[in-house]
Amino acid sequence: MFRYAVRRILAALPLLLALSMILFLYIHAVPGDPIAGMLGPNGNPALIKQLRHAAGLDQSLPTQYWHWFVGLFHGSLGVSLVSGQPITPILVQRIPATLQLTVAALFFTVLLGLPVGFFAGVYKGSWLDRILSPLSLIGLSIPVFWVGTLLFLVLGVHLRWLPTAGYVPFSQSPIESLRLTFMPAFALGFTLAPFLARLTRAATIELRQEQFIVHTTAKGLRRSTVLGRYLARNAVLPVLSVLGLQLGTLIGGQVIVEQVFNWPGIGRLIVEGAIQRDYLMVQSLILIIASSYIVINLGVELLHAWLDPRVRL
Amino acid sequence: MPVVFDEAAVDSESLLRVENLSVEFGSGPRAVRAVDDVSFTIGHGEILGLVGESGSGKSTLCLALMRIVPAPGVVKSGRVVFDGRDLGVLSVRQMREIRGNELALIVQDALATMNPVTRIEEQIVEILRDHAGKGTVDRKNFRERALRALRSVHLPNAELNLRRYPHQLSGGMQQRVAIAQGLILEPKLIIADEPTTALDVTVQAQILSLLREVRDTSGTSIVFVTHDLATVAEICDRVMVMYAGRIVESGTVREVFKNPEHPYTKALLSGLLPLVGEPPEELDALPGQPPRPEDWPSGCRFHPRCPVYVRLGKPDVCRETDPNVDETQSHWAACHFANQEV
Repeated sequence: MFRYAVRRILAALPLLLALSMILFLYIHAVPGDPIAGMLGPNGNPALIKQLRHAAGLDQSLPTQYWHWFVGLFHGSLGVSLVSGQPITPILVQRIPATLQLTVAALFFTVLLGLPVGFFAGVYKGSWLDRILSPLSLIGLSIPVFWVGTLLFLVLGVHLRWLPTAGYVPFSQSPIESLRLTFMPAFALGFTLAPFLARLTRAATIELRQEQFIVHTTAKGLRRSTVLGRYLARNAVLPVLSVLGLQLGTLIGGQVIVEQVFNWPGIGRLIVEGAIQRDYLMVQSLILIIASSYIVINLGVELLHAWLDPRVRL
Repeated sequence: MPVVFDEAAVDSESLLRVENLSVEFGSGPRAVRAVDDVSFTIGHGEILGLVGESGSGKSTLCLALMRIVPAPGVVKSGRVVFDGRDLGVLSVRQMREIRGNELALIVQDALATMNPVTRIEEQIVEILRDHAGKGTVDRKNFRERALRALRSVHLPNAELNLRRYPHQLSGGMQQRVAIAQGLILEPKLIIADEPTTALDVTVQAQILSLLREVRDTSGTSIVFVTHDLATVAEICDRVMVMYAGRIVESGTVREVFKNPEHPYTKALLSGLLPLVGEPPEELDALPGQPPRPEDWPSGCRFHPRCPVYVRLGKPDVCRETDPNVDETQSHWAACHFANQEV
């Protein structure tokens, strides 16, 4: 297991390097000059030239990449073109909020999706399945802002059980922080869970045909053993890798929920950065999100290997 | 009509008695009968061979004995009386307690019957745990018993293999583990459905001698299903030949091998190479394929492929009536012309 882990981690490193290159080229392939765009149609050519020089945009692409790449190792992502502030501190401030929301949303996704899908699959065709499966289909088609707004109106405005919007760092006030996390996280979890549930159901149904499941009857094993050690442990394997991808989507896809609940995550930074043509800001954020994809998938692979001995070859 | 105590079922002679058992797949007019009106008994400590081509209903019969025929299959009629109990009237819970405990099933593909994500130790211990009464869970004792079970099936490096996963073992080792799983609770009857078919010849011989050893030391009865007559001759006491969902010949191994009465059995035996003497120029092979359950022929089901039927000028009786058999005989065959020289 240890050797497998080392091998997977080493394999992820060139992937990160390739990612940084492709990302850099991609951003610079966007037509139009960011400085000229910022200054608008009345931009003074001399001023544009001066600003371009200050931002290093007049250098060759490899040189620019090299400077950026070296900066990464010093923990510097560059300076925002719009505000003139260094980007790293801004991100350091925003990332905990995003992480907190991601973990909480994942919690709800798994809490709702896995058991629903599993039991619908185990009792396929029963009344339970016939209630849960259409529900998950409805859930799939509900947009996240609708769930968010509904929660906001019911729990926040009418019942006043939860604070409506905002963010308090967990370290500052854990309970208030969790109360604020609940609604946006639940809204995200509720929209992702149906997909997970359908996947889990399909995996469970497929598994029930396998001979080693059928054979548990011949061994006279208890229902609890069959459900827990046989079905659940094997059904989670195909679901796991999809869950990793969903987690990646979660990190980059919180923009709408952040907007509804005034959550200071990185999703809104990207949108603002893109509108203001703050290319370094966008580049940095995409780098962070894409790297987290790689890291999450690495984590999923390791978890998969831990759960399924056949993978550790 | 549940029978709690059935005097007729108490039988000191036989451990298992099967009466007129039929298994169908599907229902209504499209139902297909895979096992048709099968009756037989197995004595204590007896090894009964069940031979036949693929699709003859051997495996379905095995599943029906354990009452685990998968849907849409159903046991349509008949009784299975095991150790004095009619299995057909037992509750799901009572049946679960019997399976794996008194009645064990070993199949051809041992790996496919094991949980791919747990260690061998867990796979054996879970059987002990699930059949132990509440509060008797003793992890250390279970481990000891699992080890002993692996040693009893002559698995090398039992300690090490206990820590392994199923896919890390060789085919022969996997089959040994499956047998250890089956034997751990000392069942009265083992149903072994082609346990050696997937193994190479030397391993096959080892598994066969292991099964015989189990019978000799514990008095376990075994139903041994195979399509390999040589294997039957090697370990079985009695043999039943199945064709198209029915038993067509039954007798002791000596009787059936020395003096086969059914043309189908004769055909199967003539397909074997003699162990001594010159090999024949050409081996006799039976023409055609065994029929599928949905189009079993009328009368004697073997008649379309039967050399005797052809030689006798296709008598109507073969096409029109089922052969009568006297199942009280030690050796019998379901053929209209069984005892005639033809």
